[in-house]
Amino acid sequence: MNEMLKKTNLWRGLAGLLVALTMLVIFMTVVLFQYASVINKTFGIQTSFWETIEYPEGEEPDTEYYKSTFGEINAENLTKLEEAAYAHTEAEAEEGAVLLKNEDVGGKPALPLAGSERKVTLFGYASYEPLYRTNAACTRVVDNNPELVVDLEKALTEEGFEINRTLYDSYANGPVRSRMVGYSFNAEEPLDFYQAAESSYANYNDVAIVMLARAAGEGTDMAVDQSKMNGVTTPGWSADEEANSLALQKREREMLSYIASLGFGKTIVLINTNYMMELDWLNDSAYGVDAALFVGTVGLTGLRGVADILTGEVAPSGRLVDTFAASSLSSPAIVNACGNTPQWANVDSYRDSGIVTDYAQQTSYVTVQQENIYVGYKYYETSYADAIMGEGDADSAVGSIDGQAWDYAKEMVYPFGHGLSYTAFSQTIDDVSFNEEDNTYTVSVRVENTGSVPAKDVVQVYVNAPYGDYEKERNIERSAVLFVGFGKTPEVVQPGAANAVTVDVIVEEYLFAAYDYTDTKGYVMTEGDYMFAVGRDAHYALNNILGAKGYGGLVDQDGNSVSAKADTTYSWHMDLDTEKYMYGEGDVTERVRVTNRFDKMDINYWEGNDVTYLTRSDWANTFPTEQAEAYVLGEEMETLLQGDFYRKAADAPSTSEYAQGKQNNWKGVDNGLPFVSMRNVDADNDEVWEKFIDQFSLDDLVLMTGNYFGNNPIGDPINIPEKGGGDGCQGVGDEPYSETLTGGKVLWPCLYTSLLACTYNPVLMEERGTLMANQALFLDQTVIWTGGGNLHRTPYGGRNAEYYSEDANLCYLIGSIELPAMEKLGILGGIKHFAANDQETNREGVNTFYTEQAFREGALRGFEGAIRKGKVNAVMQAFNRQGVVYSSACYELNVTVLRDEWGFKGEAITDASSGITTGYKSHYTTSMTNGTDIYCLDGESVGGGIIADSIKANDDGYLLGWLRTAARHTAYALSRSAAINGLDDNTKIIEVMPAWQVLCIVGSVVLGVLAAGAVALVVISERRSSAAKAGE
Amino acid sequence: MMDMLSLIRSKRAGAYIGIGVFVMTIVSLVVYLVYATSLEGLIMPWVIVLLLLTAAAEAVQFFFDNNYTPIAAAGCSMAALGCFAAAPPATIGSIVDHFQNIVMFGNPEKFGIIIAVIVLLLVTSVAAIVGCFFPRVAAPAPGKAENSEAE
Repeated sequence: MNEMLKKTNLWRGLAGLLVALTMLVIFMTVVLFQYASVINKTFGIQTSFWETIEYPEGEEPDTEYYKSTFGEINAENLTKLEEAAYAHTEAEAEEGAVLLKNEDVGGKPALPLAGSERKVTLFGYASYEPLYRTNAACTRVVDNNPELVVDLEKALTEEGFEINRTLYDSYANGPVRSRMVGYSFNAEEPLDFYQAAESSYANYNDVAIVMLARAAGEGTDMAVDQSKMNGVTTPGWSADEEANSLALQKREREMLSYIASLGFGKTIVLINTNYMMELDWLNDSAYGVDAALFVGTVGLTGLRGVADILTGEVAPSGRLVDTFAASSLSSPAIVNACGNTPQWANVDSYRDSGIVTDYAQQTSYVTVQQENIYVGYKYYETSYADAIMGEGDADSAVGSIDGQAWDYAKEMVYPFGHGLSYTAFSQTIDDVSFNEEDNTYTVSVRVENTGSVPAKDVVQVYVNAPYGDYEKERNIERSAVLFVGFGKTPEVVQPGAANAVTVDVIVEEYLFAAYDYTDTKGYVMTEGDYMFAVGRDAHYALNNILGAKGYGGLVDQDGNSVSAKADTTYSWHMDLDTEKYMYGEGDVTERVRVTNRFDKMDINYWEGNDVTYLTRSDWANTFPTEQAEAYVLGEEMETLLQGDFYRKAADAPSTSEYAQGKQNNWKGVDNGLPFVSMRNVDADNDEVWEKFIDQFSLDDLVLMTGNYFGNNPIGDPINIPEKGGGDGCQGVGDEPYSETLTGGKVLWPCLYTSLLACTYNPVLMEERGTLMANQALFLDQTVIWTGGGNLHRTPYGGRNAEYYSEDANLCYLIGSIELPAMEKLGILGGIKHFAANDQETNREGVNTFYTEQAFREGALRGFEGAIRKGKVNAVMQAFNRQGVVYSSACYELNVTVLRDEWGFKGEAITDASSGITTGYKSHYTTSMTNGTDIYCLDGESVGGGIIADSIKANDDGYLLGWLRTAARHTAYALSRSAAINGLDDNTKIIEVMPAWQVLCIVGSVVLGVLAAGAVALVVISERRSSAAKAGE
Repeated sequence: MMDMLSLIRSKRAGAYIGIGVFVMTIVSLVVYLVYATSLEGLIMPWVIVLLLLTAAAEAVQFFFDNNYTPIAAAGCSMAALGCFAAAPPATIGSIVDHFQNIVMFGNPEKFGIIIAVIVLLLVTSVAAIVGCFFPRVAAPAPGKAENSEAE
């Protein structure tokens, strides 16, 4: 023993090892605890369990307050649910895929394919590996359940097609093995790849099916200039590529030309993306494209629907929800957006004051929405109308695609709403009536199938509103044609007048009220003649409006002269009304005035800035051709930009004002109000809700701010159970079903298409909401962060596939259908990302400026349908800033508009906050006191903890009041969700620390003790050795 | 000069490993600073302090042989690694973003240098631990008999 103790080298080594291991385990524990909610969710570890009393048999209360429409949660019903989802996804593609062109081949339209045309060759890498979804949060069923995926080969084979396997199989070993997200120059196989399989084409030359894709997503826009990546030349880039990623690329051009030279019977192109590609080449004879179908991202089974369209089993009835311009760079928005987003003009000097200390990357970028209201078709169609009418210098060369006089036919490929069918339809307005009770119009439209193929048809209703001196004097902008409503024939319409059907479209007048931010400072119905028009697309409707007004020289997008159809329009006169829409939701005695709230979000509010916004009264001098020069000027602007602007007011109350204040040692009181009892308490019942919140300790309130998509458990006497949540616009989150439901199999929920909006079918929109809610119920979730309210401001927006449309009114209408359908089943429909978060480039903190009219009629409107009309109880904020203020800290957005004007009662969550303690998202006291309730992906409630520390340190009752309010909002939303399922007044929620966390703590302590012991042995060893030497 | 030469001649494996740890610590510190300064304000002072302590411990050990600075060096270098990894959200967040191909929790563009720092710190820590097991000097110093080859 003594000899062992003298082995100092050994003990020193062991001590070093154990001390290092102790450090490693301690810090690993810290890391693991930081991600505890991620770990618990990933491995299905519960942090709480339930206790309740035993009820006598037959006397058990029915606590399934929200029931799945598929019945009991069991394996059999899950199978039925997923099969319904697969069928729905196929239906989305059948009704959402848009037939862009369909030329005659041999005297008959290229599509549908004849029964004899079944030997096909699949061109394009995407035909081998289609884009099922964009790169964003979503279900991972495609990655994890490949046996369920319906790819193009499978979909076509099921329909009896014979695929050229020589080419198809070679994709597996071709040069393109994966795509660079955001870039497209290298996403296609090179020409020699296709030439190598040339001998196989003769046997499969009925049809060449070409599939082209563009991939971007969360955090990544499509590249405006793909030659450079972060300022350096993109790997693999060559000078003869197209810089613009939405243009047809060199390899694609070569492939299409090659296909055209091979003598295929037909060439059919499938556009497999939701980014608005430049598609003028579809009409280029060099490529010989006979038909083209826009198929978006296709989901799990969507390609079956595409195959059905190709064979003619289903006639296409999808319509575009975006404008496909000849140049993706021709819109007035693009000069200040996405890859073109500039920095402050004084970026090198504004930080000198020392006020702005957050990272430059999160504070320096500015997107001024100089395009004003003119996003998408509102620009192209209004410019066209003014060119026809000779107004506003619209036909000047400014903004034109070729530097010549602005010419619609050169600018446009496929207008908003475009979509062909296998038949022809005639639509006429039969009747228009007005309902004064809710200020809606019912537009009755007769739809007759004048062709020969049974099909569904979409009814699109547009309005033309006055634009004269009154508007111009007040800077009120008006789109010459404005989408205000839609409907779809519920069934296929058989050919013939006798089979004509009537579709009634309800149009809310509010959707075409104008926001006057200079004079009335509210919504106005300006005086003049208004006109409804129905039509197959925005341009068709506009031509009929212009024709009805007596204008000639009308052309379609190909430049062909057209004449107007009078029976597609309806006009009426309105007097000036500045009061009809001047109040928000709520009781007449309490409701707030709708007025200017976003003056500071107009860059010109800040003295020293002078930016021009586009106006149709002067196209030539206001069309933005250069990036806006915006400056950070003055201390107020710098303080807001820094973002840490909450300070406890001198008259702030003490925390003693509240039950869980310092006088009660931060503990709550038991008022006998369990969470489940709040399910029937009205949101405005302050007395009961405040008593309920009195029960929370400060720690409980902190836990309520934490979130890993779902919610943390809160124990007795409140008893809120821990629940999960989903995240994704094409499917419910990245969590598989419980293996107890799947017999041990790992199964993710279905992935839907990105074509929902293109279906223009309210039945399918509601069905999608219902199916996703059912899936969430089977996943034991209470919320899905889904529903895309942001606009496709430009074709490059990385998350365009998740957001509904370029048109705010269409977003409004879809949001008011899909998300409330979820909430009916107890699943919160958390629409995102609130608001004006329409680009991914520099999305972290990009400063967003606009006019209040553009904001209210555009970015805000996209969310208003779900929230104000649909009464949903969840909303997700955004990373960008409103003006210079981080969205989650913008009181005007999160409180004044969201709650006071729109009557929102539920929970407002940040976009991913992740417990960050540095940078613009870390100013928790500021965001909490400006309307944020929950911090997303902060399962450990780091943000809430920082707020609690501030409350305690400063005895800040004002901040505690906000923390209570946030908990109330969250509890209210949860009480209207499936979170209450299974609970009765006797249920107790017991919080526990998972075993792995206990193990981490114990392991750290044990290792620490061992390390200390080893060091002690070194000391002993050293002393014994010294003593031994001294004794020698 | 002669003293320095005799000092070097007296060194054994543990001391040479210690020199290696010292050099790797400095390299780690430089690479870390390159990384951290590119993040604006995300410099983690404790990482720097712990790395400086590691280097100092090894330097002290070289000139003043003892049993405790090698242990301190092993502990400090591993703590620096832990501190770097635990820093929310830059390190783990950036790695998560890299593999998820998104920009949300960190900065995926820094993935390469983050991995470089982790690897450097890990190698430094392991070397420091291994060094603890080896004798540092050739001849026993009075009262330090067991810290030498003579053991």
